[in-house]
Amino acid sequence: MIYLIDDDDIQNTINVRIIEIVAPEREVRVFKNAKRALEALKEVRENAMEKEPTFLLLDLNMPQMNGWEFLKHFEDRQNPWPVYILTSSINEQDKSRADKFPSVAGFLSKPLTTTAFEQIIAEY
Amino acid sequence: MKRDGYELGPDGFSQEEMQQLMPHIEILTYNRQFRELFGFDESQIITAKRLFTFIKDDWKKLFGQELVAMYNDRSSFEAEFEIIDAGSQTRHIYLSVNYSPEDYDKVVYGLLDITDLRVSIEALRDSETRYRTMFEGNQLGVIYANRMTSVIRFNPAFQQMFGFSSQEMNELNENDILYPEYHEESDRLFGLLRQGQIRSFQMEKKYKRKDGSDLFANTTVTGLFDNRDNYYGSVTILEDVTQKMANQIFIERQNDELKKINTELDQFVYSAAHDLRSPIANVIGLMDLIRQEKISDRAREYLDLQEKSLSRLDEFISSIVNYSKNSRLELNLSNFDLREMIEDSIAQHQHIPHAGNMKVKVVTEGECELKSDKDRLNVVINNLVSNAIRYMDCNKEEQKLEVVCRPVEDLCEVTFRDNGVGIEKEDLEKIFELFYRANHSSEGTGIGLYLVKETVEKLGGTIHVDSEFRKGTEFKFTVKNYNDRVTS
Repeated sequence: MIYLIDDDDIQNTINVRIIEIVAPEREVRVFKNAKRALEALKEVRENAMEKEPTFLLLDLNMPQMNGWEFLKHFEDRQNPWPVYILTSSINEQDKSRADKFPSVAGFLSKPLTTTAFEQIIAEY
Repeated sequence: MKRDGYELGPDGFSQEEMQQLMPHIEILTYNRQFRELFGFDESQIITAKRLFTFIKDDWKKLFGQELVAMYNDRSSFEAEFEIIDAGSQTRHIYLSVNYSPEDYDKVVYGLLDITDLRVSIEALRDSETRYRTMFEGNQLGVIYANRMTSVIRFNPAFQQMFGFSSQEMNELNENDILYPEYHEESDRLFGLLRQGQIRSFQMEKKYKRKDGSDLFANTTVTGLFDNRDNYYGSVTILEDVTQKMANQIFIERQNDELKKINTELDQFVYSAAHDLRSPIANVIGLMDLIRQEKISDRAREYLDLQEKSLSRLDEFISSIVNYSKNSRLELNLSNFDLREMIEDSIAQHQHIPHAGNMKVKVVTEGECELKSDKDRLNVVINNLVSNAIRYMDCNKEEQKLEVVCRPVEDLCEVTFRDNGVGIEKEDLEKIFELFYRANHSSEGTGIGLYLVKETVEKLGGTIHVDSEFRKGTEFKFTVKNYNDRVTS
């Protein structure tokens, strides 16, 4: 199960399709709101029936709860799953800031490409 | 000395007359100090005529008058005069001339060198004048206070600063005009001074003028101690810094405002760049998906062209953001390996068509561990790498890029040498100008090299370009290495 967290519908369409092309056997859950994603993760931790995510793809710039806030809550609740940041930010500081979160496994620039995704999926 | 009677003319003696008089005076004996005073050695014969030449011209006439008067009246005389000694120095001499009590034909000349005394008196007079000038005509307020810190003397500047009349001043104690919050500290320091634990102190104080307005002053208080080291009063020097303080507060306020604007602008650039790039990323992503579908070769070709245009727009946005950052933000220094940075940059540019054909060689001569602004230097390197790839000459057998890094004193010098298409002479001097595009068919934005130059300069270095059309181009730049333990 792969979690996609992004408020942008087009991005989600693209990313779902790329996953479909590269790894059609994988399931995808899309969250347009980072808070919903946190709630879903809570369910997963509490209910053994729920499917665990393999990893998360997280956008940074989102309304209500942005990627940074999500990461903070995510780590405070000791979620064990790796997070890949997928952003259109070209700010170098964002990258160094992301590196400080132990759960962040990678920092990718939008758009996600099949090649980039193949490299990630190869690890899981 | 032998005495002879001489008539003194109405105007005393002329110099010539004195010259005639002198041979008649015969020097019988003298002591060592006398000899040394004039700088004679033992073998030299000292004549009165010779001695006379040592006397400063202004004094010769007076000296002659005194001398003749003495010979005529059989009196004695004392005089102060100046001589030029053997070392051409002016010396003040006190002279006492008396008839010898044993032999009235003999005269005793006693000479005392009082040069040092004279110099001391002059110095004293100077210092008094200086002191008076300082006290009366100074911009700084000066107050003398007695043991109990009541004012006993003050200068005009002080009175002007506060606007009190002399009468009012005389009844004033410092704490009367000092803001209460300063009393404790001021009293404490005066206490230490009185006990002799400190000799002076400085303090910034806030006073109230007679008209009620505030006065900020830097004060320096120096204790006055008598011979037995007992405190008997103090001198306070006040510098009015009210205007300075007002300026400082104004500057600080303005500075805060500028900082706020800068942060807002940074925030604006950041979100504007993000919002501009998001749709581009979407379109590029969608185009990628279209390529996965069954489409005609022509459609595929159009997609490539579309992607090229979008990439150009994307680069333009990055350049603008980098330019804005470079001009406004402070350097953010850290240590890193330059070679690694160059190799990473080359790897990141492999997606450009034909990039894989380029043979790249990175050479490091000496230590390449650098302390500089990593993000900024990345902008420079990325631009030069991307230019080298974009302007490869595919007609040549091999496409080559050589990058050489070497430390030069406190700088690091980096050379990018390629065998690409080269730059024409007329373009060469303009390529660092904003929005100048040498290759008219190129996809460049005209910002890249301008940004490179600006950034290199911000990093404390310079950049030069050398190129031969169709042969290749060499960019050589330096950046300051802030790492001071590096020895080249």
